[in-house]
Amino acid sequence: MSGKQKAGSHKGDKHAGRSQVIAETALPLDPTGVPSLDLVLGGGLLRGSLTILVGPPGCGKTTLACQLAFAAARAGRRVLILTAFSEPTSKLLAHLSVYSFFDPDLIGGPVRMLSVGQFLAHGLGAAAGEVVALAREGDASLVVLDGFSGVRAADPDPIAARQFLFDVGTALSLQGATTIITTEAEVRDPAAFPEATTADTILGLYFSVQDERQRRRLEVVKARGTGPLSGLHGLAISSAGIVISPRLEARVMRADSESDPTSASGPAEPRDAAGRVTFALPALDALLDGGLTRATTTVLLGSGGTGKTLLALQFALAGVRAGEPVVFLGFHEDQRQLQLKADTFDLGPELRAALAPGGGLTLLHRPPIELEADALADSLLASLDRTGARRLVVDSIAEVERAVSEGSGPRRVQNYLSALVVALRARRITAVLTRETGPLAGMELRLETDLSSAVAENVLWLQGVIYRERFYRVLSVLKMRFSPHDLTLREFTIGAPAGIEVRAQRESERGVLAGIASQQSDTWPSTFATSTIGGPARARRGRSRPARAEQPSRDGT
Amino acid sequence: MIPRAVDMAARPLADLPLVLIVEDEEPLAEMVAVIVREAGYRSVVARHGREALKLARAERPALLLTDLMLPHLDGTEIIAALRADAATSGVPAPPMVLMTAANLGQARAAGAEVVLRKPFRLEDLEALLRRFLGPPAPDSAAPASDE
Repeated sequence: MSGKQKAGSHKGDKHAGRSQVIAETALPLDPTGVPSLDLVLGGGLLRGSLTILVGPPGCGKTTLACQLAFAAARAGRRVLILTAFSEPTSKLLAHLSVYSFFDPDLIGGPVRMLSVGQFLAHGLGAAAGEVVALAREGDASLVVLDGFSGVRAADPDPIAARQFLFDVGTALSLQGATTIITTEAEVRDPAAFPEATTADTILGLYFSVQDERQRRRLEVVKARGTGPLSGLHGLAISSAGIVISPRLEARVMRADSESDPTSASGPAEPRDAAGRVTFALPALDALLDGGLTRATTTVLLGSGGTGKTLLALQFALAGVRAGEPVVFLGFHEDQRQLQLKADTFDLGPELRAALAPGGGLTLLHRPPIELEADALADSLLASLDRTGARRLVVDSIAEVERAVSEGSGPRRVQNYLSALVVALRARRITAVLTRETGPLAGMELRLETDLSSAVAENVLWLQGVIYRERFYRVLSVLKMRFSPHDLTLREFTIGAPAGIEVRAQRESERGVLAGIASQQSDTWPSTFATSTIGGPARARRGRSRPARAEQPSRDGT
Repeated sequence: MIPRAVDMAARPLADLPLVLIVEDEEPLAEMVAVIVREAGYRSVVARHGREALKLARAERPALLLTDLMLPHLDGTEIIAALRADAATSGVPAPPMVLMTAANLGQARAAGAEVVLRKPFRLEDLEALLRRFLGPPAPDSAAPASDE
């Protein structure tokens, strides 16, 4: 046992000084060895506790229990896996052998697998005694009883099953052994689950088919002595075994409550331009009063073909140039396709170098097919932490929103996105998220209906506009919290080999920007054509005046 | 299938070689016992290590088929105990076959004559019976289990 031991006596006790009192003051938490499960459990499993894994067939109970057993054995503990009527040990071994956590050399040594079906014929009381004896003989510090439904079926009296668990759990706990039981039942069906009262920890596993997809989830229904993350967490069965993806909102709230409010999630960086995160496009950075404010999230909003991905790539490469590690999470374009896009412009060689090992840019490409939102967040945050990223590009956030919506329903999207923004801010990451708007008729853009724009601090809008029978690309800053910014339109071009070039106002054809603003002004606040906001002198709102649109306005600070 | 030797038909039941099967999986133990009996030998089953040692010392089987992982005493401990008995008494230990689904390294080190990997083919088990016990009895002489 590795818990703290304490000796002492009470003042005034007539036996004081005669007897030494040794007491465990804290049960140690054993790491589970299952990715992210410790985070979900609040640290691990308490040594000597009784844990029940409950769920329907196929949800992953046995795999999870055995994965816990092998992890414990790898950590130097002796474990005993007992099967009742679930499946023969030879079959179980064959099933487990496909997972990377399985190690045949541990079998028969630190990991012993036995069938206890023979002992059930003598009654559950006798069987409990045999289980405890087997654990003691094998010096096991972790005992898995797989298929408790078989034990329960051996005696129709639910009290007998509960008593069996109580006897086994108590006796093993006294030996310092942790007990893990798997049982088939609905997670929240108390009638089918009388033994729940004896458990210290209950992990509910869910398995459903939705939209022709299998979905697995894990919930910490009960956890004595630890602070688990609430809600349903992602559970996948991979070649590595069970992989848990903590619910993003729960892990962010936990991290936020544990962090020092004056540090990571404190106020924004100083407003000085030196702290700005630039696109390395002077005219655009000037609109942003020097660049994006550090540790904020920006949505690049625009319809298809307006240059969102290219601008996001420009932002990523500007980061690499500035020595800031960047993660690029892309869905539609894999590395080859992204490289092809960059090769059209001068960015090609730079992107190739950035994506090379140690180049500073990490590409996470996830085909937008049946994405699991929490698994996506888990891998993204892990990549950000691993690379020490300072910048992030997500192209596009719409695919993330779709994953959330398909997995959990549309009502979760805003919470998820808010949690993502908080997680990025806590890591001091400046993020750019692209977002398609679809074709806009006139100025029907409503930011409040676009959730990513609602939760992001900044929104840049890229438009393709027809004006006087010509196509123009224009961008503007729709929103920029914590900073003054210029609300006037800027024309930009995309051409080979220069790529994106944002023009200063004076470089656009005379009257074009004002004309575009005027064309859109029926429903659009004129500030976007004329003003800078964010400082003490707020721009007045009203119909646009083409003449003023030609004059840069920088009175915001 | 194994050949049925006609000359075994006249042997008294007690003369038929006894096979001790040590297996904690009840269905598997039962299946092996059936194969042994159908092959024309007697069988007795122990479901954990302590019971196996007791039966081995009392019944003197002609062949031991044992699982590796067993309650109370495992296959390696049974084999070691029977080898120690043989060294003390001078009476040779029966040939021993270790049946296991994993960890062949440990199984090979246990000191059994043969390691039979689970799951195994019936033909392999029948061949082992012939190898260690000689020709089997004809179908008509297959005795009931001694359990």
